[in-house]
Amino acid sequence: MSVIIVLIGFSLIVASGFLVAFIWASKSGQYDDDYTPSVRILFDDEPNQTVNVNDRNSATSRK
Amino acid sequence: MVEEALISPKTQTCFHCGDACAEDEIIFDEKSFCCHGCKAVYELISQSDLNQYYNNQDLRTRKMDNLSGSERKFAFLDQQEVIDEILRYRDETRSVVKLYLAGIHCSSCIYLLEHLPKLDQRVFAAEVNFIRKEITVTFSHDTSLRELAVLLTSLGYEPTINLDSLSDSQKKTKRSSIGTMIAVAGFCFGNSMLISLPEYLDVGFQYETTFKSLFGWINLGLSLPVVLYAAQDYYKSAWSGLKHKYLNIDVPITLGILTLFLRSLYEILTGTGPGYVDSLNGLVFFLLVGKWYQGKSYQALSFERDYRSYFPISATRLVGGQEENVMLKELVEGDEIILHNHELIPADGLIVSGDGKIDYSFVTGEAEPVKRLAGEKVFAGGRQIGGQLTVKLEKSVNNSELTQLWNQEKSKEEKHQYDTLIDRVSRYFTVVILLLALGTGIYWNLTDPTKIWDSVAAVLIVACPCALALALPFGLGHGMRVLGEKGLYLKNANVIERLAKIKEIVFDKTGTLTKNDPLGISFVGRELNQKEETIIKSACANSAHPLSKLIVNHLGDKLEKLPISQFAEEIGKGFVSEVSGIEIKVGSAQWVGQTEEKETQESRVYVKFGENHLGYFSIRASYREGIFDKLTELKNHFALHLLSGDNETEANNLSPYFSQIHFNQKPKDKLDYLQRQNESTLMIGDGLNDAGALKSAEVGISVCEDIHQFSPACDALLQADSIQLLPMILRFSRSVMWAVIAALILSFAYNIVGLSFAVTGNLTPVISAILMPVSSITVVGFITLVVNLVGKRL
Repeated sequence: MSVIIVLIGFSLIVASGFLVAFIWASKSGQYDDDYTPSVRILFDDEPNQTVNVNDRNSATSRK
Repeated sequence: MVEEALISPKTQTCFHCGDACAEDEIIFDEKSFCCHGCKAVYELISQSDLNQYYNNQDLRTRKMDNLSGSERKFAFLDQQEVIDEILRYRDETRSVVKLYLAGIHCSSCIYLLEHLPKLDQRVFAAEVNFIRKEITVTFSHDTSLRELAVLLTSLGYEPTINLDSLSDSQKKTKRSSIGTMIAVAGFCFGNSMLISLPEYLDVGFQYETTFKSLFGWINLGLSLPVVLYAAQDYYKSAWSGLKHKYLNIDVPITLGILTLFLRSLYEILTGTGPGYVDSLNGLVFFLLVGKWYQGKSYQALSFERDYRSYFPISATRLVGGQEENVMLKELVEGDEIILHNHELIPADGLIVSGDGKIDYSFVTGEAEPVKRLAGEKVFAGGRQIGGQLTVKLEKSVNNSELTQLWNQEKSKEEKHQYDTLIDRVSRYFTVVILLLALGTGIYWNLTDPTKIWDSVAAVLIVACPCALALALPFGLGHGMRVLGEKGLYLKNANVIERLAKIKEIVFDKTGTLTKNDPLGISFVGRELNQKEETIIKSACANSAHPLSKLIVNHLGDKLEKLPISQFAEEIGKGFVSEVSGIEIKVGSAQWVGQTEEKETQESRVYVKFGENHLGYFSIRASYREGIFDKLTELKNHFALHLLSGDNETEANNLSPYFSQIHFNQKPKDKLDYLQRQNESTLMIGDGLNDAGALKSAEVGISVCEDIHQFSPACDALLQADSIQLLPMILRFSRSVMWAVIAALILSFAYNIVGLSFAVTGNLTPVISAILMPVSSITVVGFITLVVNLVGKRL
């Protein structure tokens, strides 16, 4: 039965880890803005030449 | 706008900003531009492969407000003092600044602004917070804050930098700390429940006594963060209540928390029992969740704007013939300042030189600018229109009339702090509980003195008004959300409680009952030629009647004014005059000898040349749709008043609906009027001229076309289209308060059940651990259900 002591100790350490992680996330402002990141992720990194050429090709081929 | 350009190729619109191009159109890259600024920005954008910007119609039509002027406008950003106040962070290589950009409105804005580093290499990073319309920019010291502001302006996002933005940044920290408190309390609550489980299931589960004391100690350890950290706000609030001799709701809560803790401490230390740690942690957790929910307000909206939000940060001071930029707060009496076109007068003063044409719409709501010559007085809050003006200040910024109007107001929050329903209930509640504890103590003292402390502590524990304290925050929080969906945005949830008590409603006219463009004028009759228009204008210009002034404005500045040879006016009827040998009669139907039509919704001004009837000017205020139906509905339940800054033109249309009507009200008159009201009054207004009145009313609602735009300090923002929902909103607020009262009764029922265990000395930790969460959850569930049902029926 004394294994319970070890288990409880471990579970408390793990749980505290999550608590600390949450507090860190909240203090570092990750919950301040819940809208902009959802838009930001949709932006293409670099709308560079190759992508444009592909777009144009696919557009013309459709015609 | 773009389609128009396609249909008529003659009037080219600028490819960048969408404005019509004048004669000096610039062709570049086969596209037209209205100015070099637009061309430059286009180059910048296309070079940086950010052409997606032009795929967005909204952005394209945005005006680039006087790009050339922005260089000068942001000159104050070169002052070290200003820079120090605005910058969030600064080291040897870079600075970080957070700016409010009112222009942010769609995802393309985020796209363009976050690609700022591509437009200007000296900007390292840019991050947009869409909800708050803020941008955080990290830039190198090769560029300056001023250049950054000009760059943003050139893109169509002019940063708003004013006195107010210097002194915020405090608000947010409070909210994030309640999040941490909930996290800590929730963590401790969950774990202490687990640890206490063997105790709940005591039947047949024989565990060793070493575990018993170990679990007790772990529980105790878990209660410490809650008691010492998470619950601290309740102690503070209870203490400040006691200091002001009020028994607020936090007093019994604090009493309960401390009793629970001390009792558990005693039981665990002496090994006599498991303690009530799980109940304690659960209690604090639920209370904090309720508090958080109630405090959830509209972050993106600002309800606290006062004159500081409108004033610039600095002004141009004239010292020995030299212009210099100084911070507004450094301006003192006797300073001479220079005002350029569209700059705000920061303090009362005398004009030294220049022709003043001052727009006081910001202060009085009067749209027409007034002329002021050298030697005349000007007041803070006016905006100079036209040429340069030199003003010698007679007062400092804080002592000017406008700022005084704001400063003399005592805070409404202070007034209401201890007057919420829950505080009134808890005042009696606390007394009853203390008496009950005392009675229990006396009873057991007589019968079985060993049980005194057990039962007295049990009474204090079970009476802890957890469910009671949750009913109001959740009820009002849900109510606020429902109203938000309808277009009324409350500053905080407590406004609902005050809305429910409203007896009288005071309306402002322009911008509230009517649309912002106040008057529509049209001429009914045969078409007027330019000569006739000139004659009418010349004649009307001599009349002091407000309607004549409107006609003069309507006919415009282009017409010259002819000399008149005769003029006679009869007040309230009209005038007769002679211009260029033509006799002209302007006035009421009777005055020109026509039959009057009854029941018109407009004011009519008839015109007669000699013996010819030309027709009449029809002048009508454009009232918001359906407003009169709603006024009729409101009239049955509330006393309605009208305060208007305008003249009496609309008196006939409005008088059936209002018990009192006052015209020509200045901001100060409105404020005084509201302060004289004894009953709970709701003030509904729009402009800054209502600011004082909105603040001193029990509830001030500000009507605005766009809720993100500037609006005066108020308790709630109402979307202009939603003004017809007003009767419903008031009804809903009352329903919410009834629902809260029902929830209070429910929570009292739980308290009585709990107390019956407590006074008889039978409250075991298990019963307390069950009763506390069950009562909280049912009360919260009940109020959530009821408020949402009522909200659905709206």
